[in-house]
Amino acid sequence: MENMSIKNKKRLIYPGLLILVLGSIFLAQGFGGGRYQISDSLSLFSSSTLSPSERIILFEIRLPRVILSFLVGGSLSLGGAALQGVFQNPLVDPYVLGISSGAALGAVIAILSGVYLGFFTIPLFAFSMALFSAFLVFHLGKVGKKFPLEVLLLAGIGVGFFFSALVSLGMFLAGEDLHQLIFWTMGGFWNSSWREVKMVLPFLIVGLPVLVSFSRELNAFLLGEKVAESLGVEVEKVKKWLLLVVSLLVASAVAVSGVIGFVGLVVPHLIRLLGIRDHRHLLPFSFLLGGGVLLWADTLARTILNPVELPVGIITNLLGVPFFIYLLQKRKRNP
Amino acid sequence: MSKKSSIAKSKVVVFVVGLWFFTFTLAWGAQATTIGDDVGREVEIPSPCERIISLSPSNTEIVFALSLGEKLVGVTTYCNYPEEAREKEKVGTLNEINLEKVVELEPDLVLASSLTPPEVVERLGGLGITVFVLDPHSIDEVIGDIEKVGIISGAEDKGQELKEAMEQKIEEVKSKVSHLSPEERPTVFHLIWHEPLWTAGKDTFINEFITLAGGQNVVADLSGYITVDLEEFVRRNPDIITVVENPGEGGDLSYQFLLSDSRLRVVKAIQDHKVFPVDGDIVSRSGPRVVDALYMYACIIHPEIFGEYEYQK
Repeated sequence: MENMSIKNKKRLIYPGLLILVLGSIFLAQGFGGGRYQISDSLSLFSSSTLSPSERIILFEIRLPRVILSFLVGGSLSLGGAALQGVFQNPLVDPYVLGISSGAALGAVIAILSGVYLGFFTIPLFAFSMALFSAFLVFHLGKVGKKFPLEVLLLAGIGVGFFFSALVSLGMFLAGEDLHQLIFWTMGGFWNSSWREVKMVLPFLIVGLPVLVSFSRELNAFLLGEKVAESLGVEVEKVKKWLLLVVSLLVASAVAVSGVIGFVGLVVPHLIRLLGIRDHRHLLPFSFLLGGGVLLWADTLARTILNPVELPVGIITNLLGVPFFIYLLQKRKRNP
Repeated sequence: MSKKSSIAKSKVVVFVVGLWFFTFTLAWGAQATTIGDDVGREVEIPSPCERIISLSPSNTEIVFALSLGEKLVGVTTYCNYPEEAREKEKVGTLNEINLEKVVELEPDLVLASSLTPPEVVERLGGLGITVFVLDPHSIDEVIGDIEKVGIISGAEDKGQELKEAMEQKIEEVKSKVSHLSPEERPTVFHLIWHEPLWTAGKDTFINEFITLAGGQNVVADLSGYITVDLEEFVRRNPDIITVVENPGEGGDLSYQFLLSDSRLRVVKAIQDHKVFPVDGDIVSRSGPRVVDALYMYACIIHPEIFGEYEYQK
């Protein structure tokens, strides 16, 4: 009976989420200038009557932003779901390998040094430093040929703190450039264009199927590393691959959007609350729902105070924290 | 009966005490004068005033403009104008002041700013050091502050002279644009930083420069320094864009962004090549150079009246 209902649920959830996502993109495209206009949404289907500047606004500014926020939200919660699985720890977020502070440090270096190599300067620095910090964490977390999880976790926290301290130092020394650093670390899709979409998409196209292909192994991890090993999972190899793919995915997302909190932590839990723990479904669902959540958070960020715009990171944190507390309360009631 | 007489008695006492206070304050007031600063503090004018410390770049510029550079014994790390300011002793940044250093320099007068932490002002005051806080919000208030600093630092005549010169320059700009109709006043967008688009609405110096120089701030409906949507920027389609550059620190990223992002080619100012870099120090400091900033804006907005604008690095 119980199995039956979960099966039914899943049958509903896939098309349900897909409709939700497509509907969200359609609706979000209609929000601009602080209000909703159905004609803007409908322009997705016929755009022949638009003036040049309307065309730029709708298809070069708004649409790439809507798509990018979806892809970044999806990447973050996909990464979060995979890492929570690997670490068997519900409090792990996609930044646990020091990626966010690494990326922030990269952005700080790019802004303070004033190097300009083109529009991609800051994303490039952020991406490289994010990968560097992940690499550093792997290196520090390695014991012999193994990656013990608690050592990795501690190494991640240590590297994260160290890079954060460097970011603070940069901010302290930044003087008149301080606001630029603060804006970046708050996270946002201010000037997103198709270029940023193209930067993130390849990582997702490769990352999503690869991560989903590890679902069986991740499911075995739910029973603990030892049990997984006895079930024939090559634990260390799987860990290495998963961490590598997630690092690339999350680093690319952070590089184009800044540090956006809580999506990657909370969304996988939402899916689990629906009773879905099998990673074959948990991972794609997390991707779809995470994308949808960030898409709406960003729509809110650019609409609520229009024409003034809020950093989307503030919105996700504001909405994420109450949910987080709810999870804690729930945990307290039935430990 | 006794109640009535006691009331009468107390009335006499109040009157006598009041009279005593009145004469006392008169006599005291004649000796030492005080002057109100921008945060409502009454500050006693120090005499002599031989050692001055400035806690902001704009204050430093004021001190030099009053020909008091010789008396300036301490500045902040941001004080880079005029050139001589760089050689002065540093007492901190804008909001991180080294109190020990300030006390050690034995100033007669400390010129603080709105960014100086209030507790620093309070502590220095408690140590018997005269602290005057400057926090002007308009060009007129800047001129008023320069006049006050002139009085408090014993350079009253120079202050008066500077005030008149500045007022004259402002009048000149005002009178040359006064005949313009609203259609002849182009819309201007001021870009401070591009990620996100950070700009100045009403109640800012920039807004005053634009308006006085015969232009219209394209975000005059918003207040203070705000971040706006990229699509809103395209929708408002300004005629002219001014963009802050911070010399030295490779600070022309925002200018690069405006010129290189192909989506922005629909914006009128960019089509017409009317994107002008402005020196961030001049347009953001509430010192004597506000009139230079105003004149820069006048040249940018109405070159046909004031002559072509030339950006100097």
